[in-house]
Amino acid sequence: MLFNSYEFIFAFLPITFFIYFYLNSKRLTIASKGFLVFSSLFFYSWWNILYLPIILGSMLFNFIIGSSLNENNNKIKFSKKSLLIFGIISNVALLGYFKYTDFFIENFNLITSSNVELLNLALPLAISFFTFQQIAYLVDSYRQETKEYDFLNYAVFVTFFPQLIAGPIVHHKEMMPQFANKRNMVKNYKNIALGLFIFSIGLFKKVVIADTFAVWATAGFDTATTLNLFEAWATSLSYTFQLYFDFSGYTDMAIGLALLFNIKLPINFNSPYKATNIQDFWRRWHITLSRFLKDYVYIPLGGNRKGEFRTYNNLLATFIIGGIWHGAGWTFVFWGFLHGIALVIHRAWSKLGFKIWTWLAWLITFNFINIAWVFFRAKEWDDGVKVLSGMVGLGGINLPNPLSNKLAFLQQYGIEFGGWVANIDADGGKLLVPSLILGFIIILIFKNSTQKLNNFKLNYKTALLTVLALIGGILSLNKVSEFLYFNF
Amino acid sequence: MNSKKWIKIVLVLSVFVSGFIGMINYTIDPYGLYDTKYFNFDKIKQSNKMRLIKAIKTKEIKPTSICLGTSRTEYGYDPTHKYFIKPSYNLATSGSSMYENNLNFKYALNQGNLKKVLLVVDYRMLNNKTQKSVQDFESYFENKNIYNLLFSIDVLKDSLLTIKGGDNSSIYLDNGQREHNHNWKNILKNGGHFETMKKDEKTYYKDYPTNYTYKDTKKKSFPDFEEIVKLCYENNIELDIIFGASHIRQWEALNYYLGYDKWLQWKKDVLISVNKIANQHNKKQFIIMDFSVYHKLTAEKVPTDKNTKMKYHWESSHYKNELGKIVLDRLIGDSEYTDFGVELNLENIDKHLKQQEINRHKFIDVEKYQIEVFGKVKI
Repeated sequence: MLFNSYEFIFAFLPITFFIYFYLNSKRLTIASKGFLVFSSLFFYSWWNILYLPIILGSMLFNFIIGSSLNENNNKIKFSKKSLLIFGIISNVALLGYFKYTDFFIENFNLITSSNVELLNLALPLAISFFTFQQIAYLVDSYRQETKEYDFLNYAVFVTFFPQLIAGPIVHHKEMMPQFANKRNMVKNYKNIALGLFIFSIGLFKKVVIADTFAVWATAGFDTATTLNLFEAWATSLSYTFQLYFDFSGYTDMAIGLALLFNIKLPINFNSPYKATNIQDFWRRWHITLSRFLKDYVYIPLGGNRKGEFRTYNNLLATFIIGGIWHGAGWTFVFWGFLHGIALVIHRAWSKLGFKIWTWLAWLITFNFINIAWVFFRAKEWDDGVKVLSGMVGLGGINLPNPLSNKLAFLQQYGIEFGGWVANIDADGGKLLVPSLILGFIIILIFKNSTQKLNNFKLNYKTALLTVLALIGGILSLNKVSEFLYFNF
Repeated sequence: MNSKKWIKIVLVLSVFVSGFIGMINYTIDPYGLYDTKYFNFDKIKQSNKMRLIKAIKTKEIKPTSICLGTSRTEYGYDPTHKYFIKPSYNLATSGSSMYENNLNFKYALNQGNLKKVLLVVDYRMLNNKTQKSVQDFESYFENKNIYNLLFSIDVLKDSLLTIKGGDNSSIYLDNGQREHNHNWKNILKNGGHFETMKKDEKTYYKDYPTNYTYKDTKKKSFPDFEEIVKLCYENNIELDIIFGASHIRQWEALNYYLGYDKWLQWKKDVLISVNKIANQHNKKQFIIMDFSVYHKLTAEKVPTDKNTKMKYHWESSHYKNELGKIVLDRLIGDSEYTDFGVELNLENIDKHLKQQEINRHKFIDVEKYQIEVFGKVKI
C-alpha cells in the first residue's frame, strides 16, 4: 500500500489510528501493539503476500540472535562474536540472494562467456531497509546497547508501517523506549496536528512536485535517443529534483504518520542541495543511511584511525558499498565510487587548508551531485552516456524558435533554432522551464520541512498551508506512482 | 489556537474544498464518464482520458467485434461498417503499443461476447518508445472506480477548459472512432496537408527502436502480439490482421531513419509469427492483408495549396474514414478496388516484398522526397 493512495489515506490510516488508540484507552497495551504489528504486516502484504514469510522469517531469526547476543553472559564472549558474524552474514546473504544473484550471474556469464540462466527473482519490498535496520540491531545487541524486549516489541520495531518500506533506518534504542512510554499510548492532539502538517507537506512534495519532474526525467533518460544541450541539462536537473522531492516527501510522510502515533522518527534530510561540499551533502542527504554506513561500515573498517591512506580507502569502500546497496548494477557501483572519490578529494583539499568562495563551492558541489545522479538513474551505461554527452553539447545546441530572428548569426556556429526541448517536453518547455526555476528556489531559499516542523505554530497560516498541501496532494492521487526508494 | 481547533479547521476545510471540486467535476463531466447532462458543453478534453473511457465503454457495450491499433485505426475504421458484427467498438488507442492493445483485447475478450477482431498493425506498435502511455493503465481493467477521478486537479483543469470551450469540439464518436472531419482544423493550422506532412515526417521515426522492443522498458513486444493471436485461436475468434493504408510517404520517412529493409522484414516477421502459432494450434493461418502497398489510393496526390482537401489522407500517417471504408469493403470482398491490398502467406511473401521494392521507385522519387523533407539525401 502506498502512502499516496486512496486506500491508505482514507481507509488503512484512519482505521489503524482509531483501533490502536481505542485498544490503548482500554489499557489493552499488548493487544494494541499486536494490532499495530498486524496492521503493518497487512500494509506490507498489500503489494504481495508472498513477501510476508520473508520478513517474518528474517524478524524471528534476528530476534533470536539479538536476544542471545544481549544475554549478559561474559563466559560466552568468543561465541558471541561468532554469533554476531553469523547473524550479519545471514542477513547479507538473504539480501544478496534476492538482490544481487542475477547481477553476479550476468557478470559471471560475461567474464567466462558462459550462459548460466538468470533467476529473475523479484526483490522483496523493503528488504534493503529491514536488513540494514536489523544488522544495526544485532551489532547494537552485541555492544549491549539494546535492552531486552519480547518478540512483540521487536516486531513493532521492525514492522512499524511508517518507516518499514523506505526508512528512516532507525536504531532499536531510539525506538523502543518510545513504544514503551505510557504517555505515548494516549492520543496527543499536538502531535496529531504536527503529523498532519508534515504529512501534507510530504504528500504535496511527492505527488505534485516529484511526479511533475518525473515525466521529463523519464522522457530524457528512457525514451529519447539523443538529447541536445538544454534537453540533457533539463533531464538531469529534473531527476535531481525528482529524487529529492520524492524521497524527502516520503520521509516527511513517514515522520508525520509516526507522529500520529506519538513516535518521533529521526530526520533524514536537511536541505541537502544547499551543501557547499560533499561531506556536508552526506550530512544532509539520507542522514540515517549515512549514519548506518558510518557506524557499521566506515568505523569498523578503521575509520580515520589508521592513517591517511587507510582513511581514503575506507571512505571509498564505504561509498562503494553504499552504491551497491542502492541497486545491483555497475552504474550504482560507479555512482558510489564517484562519491567516494569526491570525499577523498574533499578531505585532501581540507587538509591542505584551501578555501574558495561559498557560491563557487556550492556550484561545484551541486553540479557534481547532479552529474553523479545521472549514473544513479541510468538503467544502462548508454543512457548515462547519452545524457552526459548532451550536457557537454555533443547532442547539438538548439535554442527556442522565437530567438531565431535576434540570434540568427549563431547558426554559423552550428546552433539550431526550434525543438529545443522537443525530446522531453511536448509543450515546448512552458511548464518545464518555470518548474526548474521554482525547483531551484525551493531547494535553495525555502526552509526545509524539518525546520518548518521545529518552528510549527498552531495558527490560521499553518492551517491554510496544510489544507492547500493536503488538497493539492489528495487531488493529484489519481496518478498512481511509486516512490523511487522502494526499488532500492 | 488549540490543537483540536487547528485539526478541525484543516479537516473540515479539506473535505469542503475537495467536495466542492468534486461537485464541479461531476456536473461538468469533462470526459462524459458520468452521463450527467446538466450542461451541454462539448467534451473537448475527452481525448485526455480516452484509454480509460474506451475501457469503460468496452465493459458497457460488451462488443462482439472490435478493431485494435493506434490512432491510424481510430481515424480510419468505422465500427458501424457491415464488416463488423454488432455490437462493435473501435478499441484502438492513440500511440499505443502492442502491450496496450493486448490488454485492451483481453479485456474485450473477458466481456464474453467477442467473436471478431480487426487488428491494424503498425510498425510502431512493436517498436514503441513506451510500453504504455499511462502509468496506471493496467488499473483501467480492474473495475476502476471512475468516481476517483472526481477528486482531481487535472480533471478540474479540464472541467474549466470545457466550460471555456473554444473552437475545439469533441473529437471522438460514441463508437470509439475519431470524429470524421475534426482533423481538418489541425491540418489548416499547420498550413495544409503538404506542410503538415513535411513537418510530421521530418521527425516521425527519429527515435524508434528496430529490435521489436519497447524502448523505455526494453521488453520484447512480439510476445504481446503472439498472445493476441494465440487467444484468438483458443477462443475461436476470427482475427484479421492488416497492414494499414497510410500514405506511401510514410514508408520513406521510416526508411530515412530506420531503413527500408527493416520495414519489409517486419511484415514478414508478423506473417511468420502468425504461422508459427497457427501450426501450434493446428489451424489455418488467420487472414493477413497488406494495404501498405503502392497504389493510387495510398499514393494520393498531396496538394501544396493550403486550402485544398485530400480525399483519403490527413497526413502520411493517418487516413480518413473514406479510405478505411474501402479497406473494410475489400475485406468483405465488396469493393471496386479489387487490386488494392494483397493477402499474404508464406508462399507469396518474398515475391510480394520484392514487388514492393520495385513499385516503390515507380511511385516515388526517393531523392526528391528526402531533399524536400530532410534537406539532404541519405538513401
